[in-house]
Amino acid sequence: MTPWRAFMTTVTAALRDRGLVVMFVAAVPIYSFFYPLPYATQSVRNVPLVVVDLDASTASRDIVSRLAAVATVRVSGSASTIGEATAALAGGQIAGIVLVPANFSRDAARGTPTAVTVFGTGAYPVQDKAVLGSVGVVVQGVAAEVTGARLARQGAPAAALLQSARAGPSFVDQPLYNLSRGYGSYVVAAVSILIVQQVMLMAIAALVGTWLEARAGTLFGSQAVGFGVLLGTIAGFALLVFLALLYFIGFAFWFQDYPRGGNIAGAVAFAALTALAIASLGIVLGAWFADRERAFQVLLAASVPFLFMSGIVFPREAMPAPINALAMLIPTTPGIFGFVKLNQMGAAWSEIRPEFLGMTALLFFYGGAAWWAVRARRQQASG
Amino acid sequence: MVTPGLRGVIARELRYLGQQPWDLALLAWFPMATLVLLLWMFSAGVPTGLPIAVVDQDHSSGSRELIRRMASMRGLAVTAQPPSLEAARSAVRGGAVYGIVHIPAHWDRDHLRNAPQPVVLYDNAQFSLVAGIIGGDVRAAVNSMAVERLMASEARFGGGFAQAAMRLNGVQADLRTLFNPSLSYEAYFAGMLLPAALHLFCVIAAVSALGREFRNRTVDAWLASAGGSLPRALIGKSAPVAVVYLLLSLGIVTTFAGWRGWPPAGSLVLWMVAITVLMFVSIAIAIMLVGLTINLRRALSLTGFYVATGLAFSGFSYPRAAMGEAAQWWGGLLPYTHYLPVQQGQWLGGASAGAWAHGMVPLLAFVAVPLLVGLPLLSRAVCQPARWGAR
Repeated sequence: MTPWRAFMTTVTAALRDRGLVVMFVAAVPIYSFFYPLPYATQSVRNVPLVVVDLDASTASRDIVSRLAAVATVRVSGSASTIGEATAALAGGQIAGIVLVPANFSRDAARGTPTAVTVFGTGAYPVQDKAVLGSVGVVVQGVAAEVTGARLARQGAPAAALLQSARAGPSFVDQPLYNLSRGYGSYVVAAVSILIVQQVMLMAIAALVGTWLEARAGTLFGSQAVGFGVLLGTIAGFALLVFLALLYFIGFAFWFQDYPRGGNIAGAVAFAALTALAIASLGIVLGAWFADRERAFQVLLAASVPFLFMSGIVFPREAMPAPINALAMLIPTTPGIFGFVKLNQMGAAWSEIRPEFLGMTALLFFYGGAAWWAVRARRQQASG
Repeated sequence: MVTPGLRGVIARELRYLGQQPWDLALLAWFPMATLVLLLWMFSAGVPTGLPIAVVDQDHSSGSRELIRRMASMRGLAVTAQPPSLEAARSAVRGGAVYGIVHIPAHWDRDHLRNAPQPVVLYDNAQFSLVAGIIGGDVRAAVNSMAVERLMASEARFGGGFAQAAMRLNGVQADLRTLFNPSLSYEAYFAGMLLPAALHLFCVIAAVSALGREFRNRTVDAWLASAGGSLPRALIGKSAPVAVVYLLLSLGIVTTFAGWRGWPPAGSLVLWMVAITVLMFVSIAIAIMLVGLTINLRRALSLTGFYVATGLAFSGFSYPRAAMGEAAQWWGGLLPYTHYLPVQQGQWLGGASAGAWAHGMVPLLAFVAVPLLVGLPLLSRAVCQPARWGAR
């Protein structure tokens, strides 16, 4: 069998397997619409808050009406005691509490120290940060106005107050990439690469496992398997992985309006390299599992650990060194960083050097492992 | 009362697991290794020393003081001081640093002239969690200097620093996090991911145990070992899965509450009951998925679609209230969405028994409904040998 024959046979076999063609062709597009669904709204909005207003003054009602203008939160009701509201927070029915203490308005006018307290819940940290951040800005705004008004009454020069009220911020927090700070833009950019890897590994390993069970296909048929046949088979599977990656980079990110297209040429080149590494790993797994269904059983539950091991969610700096070392064996580890840098951050090829080297090392490692695993399985069968 | 038929099917199942190391590994060793890995992964709790670059174009004593304060923040490590923003941006794209703090020229002088320029943090929102930590710490460092300067200038109006502080901080915004106040990412991620992983592993194990009888065309032998009764055959089939996963789930609860030292604010027993029910939900869902497909591979594919993606819809990171309607609706059809608030309520929040009971009703429905769907389909399929053996 020539390498070209092996390539063609592999692609046709993938498309002719009635059970697996769905995985090879349709699963990635389906997941590309299904998985981003929760994140389509991009930023935290509408989370319910309860106001405990023990002051019932114009000032406290002013705070409530300003909260209504904040998109992140929704004032879903009020409670007469802090205990009542805390129970709802503990049970997860609400996301936060705003407590205006008794005599707030009087104390603010007199200059007696007082505070509006905002409670979030650490049981849901993303929501907690959104609530404290957005409500905190509102309360700080009110506090600054109240303080300014009192200082003016006490005789501070009006010009100085005006100047400080109009002064620019002393600190600006500006994202360099993912400019809208979209939660979806961050999650989907990373998970899309994981989806391609997991779906394709399952499909390739299942097909190779089927070949091994049936003593068929390019790798386990009656014909001798040379280096060229293995290369052709890897290339055949890699083509399907490559197309799936291009689908995400070129269509899904654009269609769903996620950050994209930073370095298209680089991303396409890196996709080709990644596809070859994933195809090789798929053959290794298929030859190891030697079973059509095993890959599904093993890989389904591996997705969550793989995502976190890549270091895009929880930083590598905070993970134990042995886990970071183990993570280097997974194509998504250089893959997610590499594609996020190229697609979302517009990195130059020289700036993804660690990812390029990591992925190349994986390609050689898994290419070699595939060669060894296929030969070992064939010897086992003949011996 | 253990009937001979039930004993027979359990014995057959255990014999199979004894002979098939792969199946035993998927049932027990692989999940255990994953749980340990996930727990270990977040053991640092809070990320510290995240690398940032500082571009100091002011070179004043004030800017050096700011750099010192940033370097002393727990979450930050000032690892580079490139001469220009362009060089710093390349360091971000290359992955050497997560953000750039830019201190503009004449920053200190303009501040004294009462025409302040801002310090700008350019962070990388593609790394959302890291950007949040860096943003908070840099802001705190900048604010600590700004407040000191403000206090010093206010103190000129008399009364010393104490009076100045009183005047400036008459009204404060007091921002507090209740429950897990240190925002330990270990408690957050491990607490949510471990039960989710266990739920997924349990579905996979039960689907595999049940689905392989159809794949291997051994339904007859399986039913025969149970004395011909499908309910008994299913109970016997699920028993090893149930035992392993109940032990593992109680294991993670005791790991959290005991070994890791995060005692439940609510009731340990109610939490354990909830996670036990989640494991029974997993088995019921497996029965439904195999019933719907009578095909091990397809049942596993559906597990991927229905269970493995469940975490994203559950609101564990991105709040459900913020999702679109379709995502909220789909999330409502997933058991983990209903389990999570029950766990967080009993473990971290200290929710009442009433709130727990309220949360358990939908969870129990996830035992009943999949069984009502799956059992009739299975009882039909076991009588149709032509459908067995589908791959």
